[in-house]
Amino acid sequence: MSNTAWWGGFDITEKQSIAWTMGNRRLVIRRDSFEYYVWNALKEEISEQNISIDRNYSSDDLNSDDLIRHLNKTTDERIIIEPKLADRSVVAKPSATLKVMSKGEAQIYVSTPLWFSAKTSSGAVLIDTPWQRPSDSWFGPSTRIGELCYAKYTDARLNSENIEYHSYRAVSPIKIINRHPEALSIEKINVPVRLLQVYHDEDSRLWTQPLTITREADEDNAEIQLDSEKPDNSPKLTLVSGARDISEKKTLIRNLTSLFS
Amino acid sequence: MTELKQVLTHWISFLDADLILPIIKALLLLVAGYFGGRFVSASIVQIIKSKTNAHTQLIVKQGIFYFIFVLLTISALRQLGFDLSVLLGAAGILTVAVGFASQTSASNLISGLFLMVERPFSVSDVIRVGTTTGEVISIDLLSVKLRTFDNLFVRIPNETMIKTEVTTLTKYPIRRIDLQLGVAYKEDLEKVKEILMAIAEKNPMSLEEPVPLFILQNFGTSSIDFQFSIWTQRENIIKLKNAILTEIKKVFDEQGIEIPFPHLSLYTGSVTEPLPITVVESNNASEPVENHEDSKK
Repeated sequence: MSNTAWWGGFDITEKQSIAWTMGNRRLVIRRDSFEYYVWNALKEEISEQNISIDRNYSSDDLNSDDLIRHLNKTTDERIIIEPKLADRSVVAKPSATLKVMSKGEAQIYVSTPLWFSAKTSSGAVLIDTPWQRPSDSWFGPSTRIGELCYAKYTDARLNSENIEYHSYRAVSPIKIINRHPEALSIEKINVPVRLLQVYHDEDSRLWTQPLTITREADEDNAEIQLDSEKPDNSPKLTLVSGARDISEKKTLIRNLTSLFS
Repeated sequence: MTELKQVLTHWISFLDADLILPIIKALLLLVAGYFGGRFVSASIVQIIKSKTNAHTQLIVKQGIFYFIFVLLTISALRQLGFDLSVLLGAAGILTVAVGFASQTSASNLISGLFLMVERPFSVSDVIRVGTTTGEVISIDLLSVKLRTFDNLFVRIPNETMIKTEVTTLTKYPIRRIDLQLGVAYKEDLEKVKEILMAIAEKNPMSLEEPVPLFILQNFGTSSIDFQFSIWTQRENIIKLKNAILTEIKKVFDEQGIEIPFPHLSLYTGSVTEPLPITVVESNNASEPVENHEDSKK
């Protein structure tokens, strides 16, 4: 496991190609005078999980089927790479059913897949694609009511030390407070990652903004609190990517069935 | 030219000056009603466009247009000196007469109103009516217009829509694909099930939840028949079905799992001559090609 910082600002000269490689998965960006070339070949199975960067990649033999060309009058000398969270909510499944006792609280850590997002310094998006395409899933009380989300390549643990860190995943600390007289059963948890920011720590590990989910005593709704402070057990954190959905409210009310099952 | 002038003068002399002005006014009102109605309804739809779907926009547009047009038509009739109360009375009698003459149209009209209120589907939904499947391009007072996937324009009367079963294929975000499959009797069904589940799990378009279903259907004449059902986002139906069927064939071939297909045996009976068989290629190229009948002799 390597923690290479594959994100940040990259200077790119004309005719230069930069490649980000994770096993057999490769993303290449090349700059020309009036256009950017972006190669993106999604693979079903990825053999390795370390991400390496080649700043002088030869893009001559890349497949044109995977190519998208972004045209403009001029091109910027700098591109910004961001690790973005998924573009839908992500469902994580603990290894066994969890029950948060009545009037109790629990802290869990959920690891979710990241997207490779590249934009020019003027803000034009060049690519926004997952490192590994997670599988689709449905989360809701019935096939009529619910939402589409992602399910594969997630992990949920009670202790952050048990979480396996990968460059292509971010860890979300989630505190669950149950004020209801009945225990809260969690087989699966739906993490609203579109609302979360991404930080990196000194070891280039990626974290998201912490979440607090509170189930009140007399309601079937849950309150989601987007905590403004950074994850508490990693004090030196730097913001690397904003949330996909900017919520003006720091507290959101959701039906319990849309968060837990 | 002179003759034309004479004819015009002759006709104009018939028209009283008091009559010309109301006619012009009435015509202007009708034109204003038509174009004004179209303009106002289109403008309002532009305002509400971002907050409403295509179906609501269509209803609002048609409602406003007809309201303005009918209102100005009534004003135009008043300008021409029609007494509307008499006209409404006459309309009652006329309605009966027209009603008998246009039962189908009236039925379609009322069915159209029910369809608009009930909203079993909206514009841009994909629906199936009988054997026709297509995208709804408009819901009008008399009929629903569809565009089929082979790009045909189909007009279905509203009465038919009310009377027959209509399936909306795009009502919910996810759908199930039911694959009817069969394997040979010698195959291990547990292994077959595991393989199918692994194929579904591997494809990211196949939903993890609801989980795929494996339902044994029948002990068929030449195969054990079962249904394998997978859920997917409705937009991915065709793509996933193709991908899964291709993968099933590939993996079954790799694993040596037989997919039986009907065999046809030709029996010529005891009174007929045996079917002649000719070997066209043998393992040993040097062997002569032989005729089955010859070899029997």
